[in-house]
Amino acid sequence: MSYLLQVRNLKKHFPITGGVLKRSVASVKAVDGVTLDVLKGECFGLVGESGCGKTTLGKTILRLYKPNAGSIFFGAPSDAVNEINNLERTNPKSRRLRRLREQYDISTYRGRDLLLLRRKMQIVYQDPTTSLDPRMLVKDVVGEPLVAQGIAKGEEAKKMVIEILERVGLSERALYRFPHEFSGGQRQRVAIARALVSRPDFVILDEPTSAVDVSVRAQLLNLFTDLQKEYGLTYMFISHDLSIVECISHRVAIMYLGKIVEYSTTEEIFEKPLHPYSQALIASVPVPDPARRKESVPLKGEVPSPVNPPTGCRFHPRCPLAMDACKQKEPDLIDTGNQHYVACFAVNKENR
Amino acid sequence: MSLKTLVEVKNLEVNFYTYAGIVEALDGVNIFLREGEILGLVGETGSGKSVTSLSVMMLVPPPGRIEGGSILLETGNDKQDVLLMDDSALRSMRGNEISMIFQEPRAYLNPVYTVEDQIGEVMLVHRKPELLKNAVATLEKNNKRRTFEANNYRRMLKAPRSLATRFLQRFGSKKTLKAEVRKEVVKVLKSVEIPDPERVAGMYPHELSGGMAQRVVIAMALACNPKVLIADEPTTNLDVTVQAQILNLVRLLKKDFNSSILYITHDLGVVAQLCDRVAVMYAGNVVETADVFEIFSNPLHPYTRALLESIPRPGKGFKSIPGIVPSLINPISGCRFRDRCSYALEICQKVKPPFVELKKDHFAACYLHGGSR
Repeated sequence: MSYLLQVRNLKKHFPITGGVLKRSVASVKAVDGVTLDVLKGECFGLVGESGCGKTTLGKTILRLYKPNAGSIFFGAPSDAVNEINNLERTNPKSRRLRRLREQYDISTYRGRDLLLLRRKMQIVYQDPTTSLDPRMLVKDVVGEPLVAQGIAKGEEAKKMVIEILERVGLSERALYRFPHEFSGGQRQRVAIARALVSRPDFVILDEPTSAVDVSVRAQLLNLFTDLQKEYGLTYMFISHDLSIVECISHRVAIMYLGKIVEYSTTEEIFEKPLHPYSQALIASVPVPDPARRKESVPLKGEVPSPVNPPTGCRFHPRCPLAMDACKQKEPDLIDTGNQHYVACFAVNKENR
Repeated sequence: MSLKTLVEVKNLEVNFYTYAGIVEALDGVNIFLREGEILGLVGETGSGKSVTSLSVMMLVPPPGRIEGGSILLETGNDKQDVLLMDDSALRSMRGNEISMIFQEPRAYLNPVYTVEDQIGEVMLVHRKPELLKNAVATLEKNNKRRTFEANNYRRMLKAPRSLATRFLQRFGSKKTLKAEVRKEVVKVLKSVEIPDPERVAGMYPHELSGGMAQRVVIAMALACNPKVLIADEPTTNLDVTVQAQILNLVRLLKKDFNSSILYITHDLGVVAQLCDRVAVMYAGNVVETADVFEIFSNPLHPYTRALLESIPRPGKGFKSIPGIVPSLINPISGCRFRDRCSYALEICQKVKPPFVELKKDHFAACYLHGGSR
């Protein structure tokens, strides 16, 4: 299977300004060295608590934010990526490397390249009430990507809009209505139509179901799986609801304070999580079965501030397995076999 | 568990008079809460969960109006109807008998007062005589029985509303009373497992994290040891790990204080983990009430069944309930679930199914299971 998206050591820091001159005094390390691969045609789940940098990671991958460091390869041939990796190690100043990066690494893209890239990657936000312009008709909301990208306009655009609206479960009648005339579930369908109208390859779903009710949630999730099959989409599904991610994703990454602590296939993650944080997170999910009650609290305390993350492993102050090594050195994401990557010294004992 | 019923809501009807029309938000709601139990109130958005709980406190905001029914509250030996209470009775009922915790803790904390001020205020409103007595006792212990401060407190105890008291209590220090309040605040903060309660008492709401703010709000609700606690989706905006902590705290409260808790949520996982009994609401009606094990193993109402099937389970896909929640302006006749129900009978269109006890402690409003056809 080929990779659609490869992210290498991606960093996004937001400056905190202070003083009269508004100089940067500190920075929020929202995404701090993330490496991951997304396969073509899969649904990649990204899980973590609020403030861990899930959304920032998603937006940085889409280049809605400019990353501070790291590289993003989107649909690049694997030998090009390998060559870049090799050159970075052996000859980081070569002209060949620079040319390759300008060609394949989307973190260096500007202007027209970026515009063309947008056609291929889209996002569906959490709350459709705020992500849809209240003063635009559905026709214009959904048709705007077509016009902006120069794909179609006028009658042709309208035809494409109707086609996609029907596909997401709305009808032609929705065209001349405003977003406020729809229910929450329908509004989210409009947002999905807008994301899909330019026929992207990759869609980031940023908590798309957290603003709707249980019964509507199931309808939307079914729609996502159907659309994925039909258009051959690749998803990155960002959520804090582990029960949904377990059902919809093929692979899952768990994030904590700007870092990925573990990632593997969904079955591996949910059946035998290795990282102590993943274990605690999965144990915290309330199971809808009164016969399986858990009365203990798996994790004490709260997530520390990303301005001053703890030294070494970021999880060590709350970790039940913390050792001396965890306080000094940051563990790397290491394959424990079976494509199961974990960043923990207690798990990868030999790599301490 | 005793079978004493603390709160009993009977045939409660609430309408909201809006420009678009009359919203029949509650249409004959029946629930009861027993002593020392956690009752889960489950339903989708707009099903009337929050309106039910607000009615119990008589806090339904305009343009809502309570149109009928009764809410019986056990006070000592007799039962009182909340709907018939006058303002001063209501004021002493709120906080003393029933307290409420809301979803968004930060919205219910005043940003310009410290935690101590806000919890202390609740205590001074509801428990002033007790705190004054404590303050006098402390002063007497320290040989300050004849000071102006002590006399002032005695005056406030004896004739709290007299002109002289109100005039004189402005003067002199109230240090001892404040110290008493602080002691109580720290005690109640400790009971909700806040680490370092002395420090947290002096903090402002913006200094607290989400989980901590929710604990403070819970502490505020517990300030007067209410018999009944209403929790309106207290963990909806929190992360799962913090949610697990708060759920554990609610369990502890039930055990340690023998509180009766009405827990409103839309998360069936939370219900299964926490509640003793469950009431399921749909479009302004309670459709089914039963023990939590009974609800999950043997749901009788089709809506409850559909709700349980909509829980995502790996490998099984997502089952949704067809259709949408009906509008409550001019709602459909008969059973309000009938046009989404795959078992709908003819009678469901005409007459609203009665809410009857089908098995011991298992109530449902559906013609499929006996009832009077």
